[in-house]
Amino acid sequence: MGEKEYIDKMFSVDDFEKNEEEIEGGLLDNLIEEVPESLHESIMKKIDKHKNRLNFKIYGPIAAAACIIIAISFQNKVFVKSTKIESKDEAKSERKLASSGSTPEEKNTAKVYDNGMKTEDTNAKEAPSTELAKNMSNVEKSKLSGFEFNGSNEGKNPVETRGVTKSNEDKDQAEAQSLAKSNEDKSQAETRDSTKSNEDKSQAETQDIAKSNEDKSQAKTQSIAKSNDDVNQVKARSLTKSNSIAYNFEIKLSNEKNKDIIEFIEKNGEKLDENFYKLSVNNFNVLDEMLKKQGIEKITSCENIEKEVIIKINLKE
Amino acid sequence: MEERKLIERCRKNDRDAFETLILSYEKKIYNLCFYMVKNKEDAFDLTQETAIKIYKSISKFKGDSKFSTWVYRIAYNTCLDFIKRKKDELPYDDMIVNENNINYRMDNVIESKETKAIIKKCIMQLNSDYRTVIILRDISGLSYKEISDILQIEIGTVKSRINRARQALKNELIKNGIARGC
Repeated sequence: MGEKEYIDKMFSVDDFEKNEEEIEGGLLDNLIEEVPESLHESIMKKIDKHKNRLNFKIYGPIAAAACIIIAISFQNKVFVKSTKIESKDEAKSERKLASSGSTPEEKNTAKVYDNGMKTEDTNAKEAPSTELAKNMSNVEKSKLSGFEFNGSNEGKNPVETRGVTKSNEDKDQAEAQSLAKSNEDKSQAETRDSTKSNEDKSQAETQDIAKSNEDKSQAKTQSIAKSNDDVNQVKARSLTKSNSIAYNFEIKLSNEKNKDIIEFIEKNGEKLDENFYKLSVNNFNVLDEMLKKQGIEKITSCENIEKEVIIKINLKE
Repeated sequence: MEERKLIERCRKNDRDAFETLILSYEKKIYNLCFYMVKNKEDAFDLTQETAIKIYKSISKFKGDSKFSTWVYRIAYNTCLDFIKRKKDELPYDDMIVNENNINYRMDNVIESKETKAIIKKCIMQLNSDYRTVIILRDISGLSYKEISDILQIEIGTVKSRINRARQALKNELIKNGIARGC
């Protein structure tokens, strides 16, 4: 019995301070308490918990970052999809409107241009985007397909007004304020800002003029104007698909005689398509000087210049 | 398996190795905690706390001292923190000895269980410093050097503290009716 021995030794010593005799250690090992059964289990549980927490600390931020990336990419996909659906819906509604004709209110404000249209609504906070919508049947007949609305559409849905296209019925409507003119009638539309005819007898004077090509089949296509991801960009400068590009000036140049001008344009401009260049206003001013010096005339398509100027070059051999 | 190998594996976050390692120390830690805080529930919690501390910091164990010494030191410091938090002297939970039931007759042979209970009670009556050295030396059977490492005091101080603790325990035993010849 360790404890008895311990007690014996304890009482054999009178004064421990002066005692030199050593009492060995561990004599009271019988007093060791038994560990509760659940102790080991709960220790390991806590260890596991701690380990998981540690893992979470390490991998948590990585997982969170991955989730954010996935969420953002997913959101972008949804956004792109919805934009596409929206633009499709718009096109559809425009087609419907085109086929059914414009409303009386729209008649008063419609301005017809060849192959392009522009809408403006001064009452609306958000400026409407430019869309080109055509009624296939009417386009075939008229080769005209553009409208412009100038802010008198109070209480009107801009989308509806935007999408109004020329139809045979429009002839009557255009008589009110803006005259729509079809090629068949060979009449020209009168607009507030005035329109000009191009070589095809159809040029639109708008901020965004959609230029139709000579290809009739393309003129038939109902939606030429392609909306970008950003609808505002479409509004600002909608470059129509394929070879229909809105431009401000057309210049006739000779490949041999006007090399310096062509070089200047190529150097300072941004090529949008074949024969179409985008220049900054400053560069355009320089170009303008060069053109004046060489006596080259510019054919104006749209004078509504903002920050950039789009020019079309007609090259002569 | 060798303790050293287990420690190495624990450093690599090997859970099983830690389980094996801690299993051999649970009892020692628990007893130190129990005698220091004088309460089974707190001892239970403190043992867990110590185990987590060991798990967290085992990679810092350099091997300068014995692993058992290192473990004891962590347990001791954990208990000290706990005592500081509590401040007031912890009440002995009385589950071992019911003073009223002890009617010792010195001239009779006292049952072993009773002796143990009395000694335990007397140890619990000691102050914290004395109690600690009695646990480490007389119950756990550690050497002076080990105790010195755990308590971070000189060996001479350990010896003298043990002597004083024993003297105090002897006095307590006498108070509780235990005398020579039991």
